[in-house]
Amino acid sequence: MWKILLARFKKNKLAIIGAVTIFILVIIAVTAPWIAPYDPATLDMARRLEPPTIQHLLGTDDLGRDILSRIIYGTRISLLIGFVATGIAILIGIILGLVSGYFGGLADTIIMRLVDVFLCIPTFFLILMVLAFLKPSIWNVMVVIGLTGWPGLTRMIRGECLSIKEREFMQAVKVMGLSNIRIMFVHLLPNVMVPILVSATIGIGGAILTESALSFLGLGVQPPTPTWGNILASGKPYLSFACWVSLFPGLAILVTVLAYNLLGESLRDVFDPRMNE
Amino acid sequence: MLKYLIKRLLFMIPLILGISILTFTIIHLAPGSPVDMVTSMNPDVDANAKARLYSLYGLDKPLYLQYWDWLKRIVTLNFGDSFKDGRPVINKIAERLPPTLLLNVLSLGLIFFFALVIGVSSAVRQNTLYDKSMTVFVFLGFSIPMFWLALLMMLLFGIILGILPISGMRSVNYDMLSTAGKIWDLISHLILPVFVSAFGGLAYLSRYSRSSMLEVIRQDYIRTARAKGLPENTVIYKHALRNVLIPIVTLLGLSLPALISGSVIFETIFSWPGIGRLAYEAIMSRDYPVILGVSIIATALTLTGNLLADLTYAYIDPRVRYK
Repeated sequence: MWKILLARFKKNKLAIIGAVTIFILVIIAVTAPWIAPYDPATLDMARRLEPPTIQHLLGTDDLGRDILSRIIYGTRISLLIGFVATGIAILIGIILGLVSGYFGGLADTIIMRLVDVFLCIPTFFLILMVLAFLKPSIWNVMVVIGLTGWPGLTRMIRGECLSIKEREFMQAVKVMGLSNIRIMFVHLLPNVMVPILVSATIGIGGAILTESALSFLGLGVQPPTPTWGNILASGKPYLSFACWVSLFPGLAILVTVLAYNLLGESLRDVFDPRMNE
Repeated sequence: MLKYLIKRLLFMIPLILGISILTFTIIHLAPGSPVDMVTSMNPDVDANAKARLYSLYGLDKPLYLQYWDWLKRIVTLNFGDSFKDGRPVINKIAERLPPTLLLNVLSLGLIFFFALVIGVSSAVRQNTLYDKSMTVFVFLGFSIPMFWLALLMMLLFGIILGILPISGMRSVNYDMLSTAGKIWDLISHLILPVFVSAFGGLAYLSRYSRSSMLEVIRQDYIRTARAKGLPENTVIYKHALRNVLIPIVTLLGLSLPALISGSVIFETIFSWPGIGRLAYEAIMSRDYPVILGVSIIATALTLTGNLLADLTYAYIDPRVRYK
C-alpha cells in the first residue's frame, strides 16, 4: 500500500517540488543563526535603504538592517505560526468532527449549528477584532488563527465519519464492546487521516498568509521580532524608491505558501487517483 | 417555492443571533474600553466624567441587558450611533455598502467567468503542459499575499507607468468631468482592486470546475453524445458544461465570506471607501456600535448570497425545481 503511494508520489512533479521546498525552508529555519550573514537586529543608520549589493544581497531596510538575515530569521516565526495555528485547528476539528459524526443526535446538532455560525462570519474580520482587543503577541496570533480554522475541517470529518459508520467493520467493533473513545480514535480516526493531512498541508499555507496580512495591518507579530509580514509592511512607505524592502519578504511568503498548496493538492491526487487515468 | 423561501428566511434568524452573541461577547470580554480610548490621553477627565460616559454609552449595565437593549433596537434597524463621530451606524454602513458591492460583484463575475474557462479548458486537455501551467497559475493566485500583489500593482501601474490611479474611488476633479469621463474615472479606479481580488479567488472555483468537468466527461451521456457523432465542441460546451455549471453557482455563494474578508485588506490598501475599510477603522478605534453593525451586515450579505445561489440553482436545474 505505502509502496504504491510512494511510487505515485515520486511520479508527481509538483508534489516533489513542494516537498523539497518545504524541506529546505525547515533547514533554513533550524540553522538560521549559522547561515544568516548578519545579526537581524543590528542597526546601521549609515546604510539605510541600500539597494542589493555584494555585502547585503537583498539590500537593507529603513533602519539599516540586513534584509536577507531578517528574512532567514523570519522563516522561523512564519513556519512556527503555520504549524501551531494549524495544529490547534486540526485538534479542535478532529474532536468536534468525530463527536459530531460518531454520536449524532443533540451533540451533532449543536456542533453543526456552531459550524454554520462560524462559516458565515468573514473569518479575517473576526481574527482582526480579537487581536485588536488583545495584545497582538506571537502566541495570541497563533492561537486566534488556530481557533478560527476548525469549522470547515469539522464539517468534513463529520461527513467522512457518517459514511464510515455504515461500513461493516464498525458493526464489528461495536459488537466487540469497545469503548466509544477507543472506537473514535483507534478505528474511526485512521480512516479519515488522508483528508485531514491534505487540509493540514493547505492550512499551514493559509495560516502563514493570514499572519502576514495581519502584520501588514499592524496586528500581527510586533517588531522587532522579524516576520515576513512585518518586514514587508515596514517597506511600504519606501515602496516607490526602495521596493526591495517589500519585494523579497513577499516573494518568501509566496514561495512558501505555494509549496504547501502544491504539496497539499498533489497529496490529494496521490491518495485519490480516480481522476488521473 | 414561497414556502421554501420563507423557511430559508426564518432559518437566517438563529444564525444572525448566534453571530451577534459571538461578536458581542468578544467585544465586551476584551480588556480596556472605548471610554479609556477617548479619555486616557486627557488628564482633566476624573472618575465622575468617566462614569457619565459609561452610562451615556450604556456600558454600565450588565452584559445581558446591554445585549437585550441592542437587540431590541436592531429589530427596527437602529444600530445605534457611532462612538467616534456620533453619526447613526446605519447611515455609515449605507454609504459604504454600494462601493463594496460594486467591487465584489464585479470580481465575482470575473472569477465565475475565468474559473469556468480555465477549469473546462484544462479538464479537456488533462495532464498536458497547458493543464499543468494553469494549475500553477491558479495556485499562484491562491498563494500570493493579496496586499503584496496590490502594492506591486500600485507600484507598476500607478507610479512607474503612471496609467492607473492607485487609491480611492474618484479623482479629485471628479465633479468637473463629463458623464463619459466620470464613468471612465470610476472604471480606472476599479481595475486594480477588482483584478487583485479576482486573481486571489480564482483557484478554488477553477480547481473545482476542472475536477467536476473531469467527472462529467466520463459519464455515459457524454459517451452517447459523442457516439451520436456530435462535434466535440457541442459535446463539451453544450452537454458537459451545463452540468458543471450547477455546483459552481452554489460555491460562488459560499465564497462570499472570503471575499468580504479580502475586502478588509484591499479596501484598506486602495483606500476604497467600502465596508471593509469601515470595519478596519471601527476595530482600530473600538467603535463598538459600528463593529456590531458591520458584522451583522456582513453576515446578512453572506446569507443572502447563499440564498440567491440556491434560488439560481433551483432555477437552472429543473431536477431540483420539480422535486
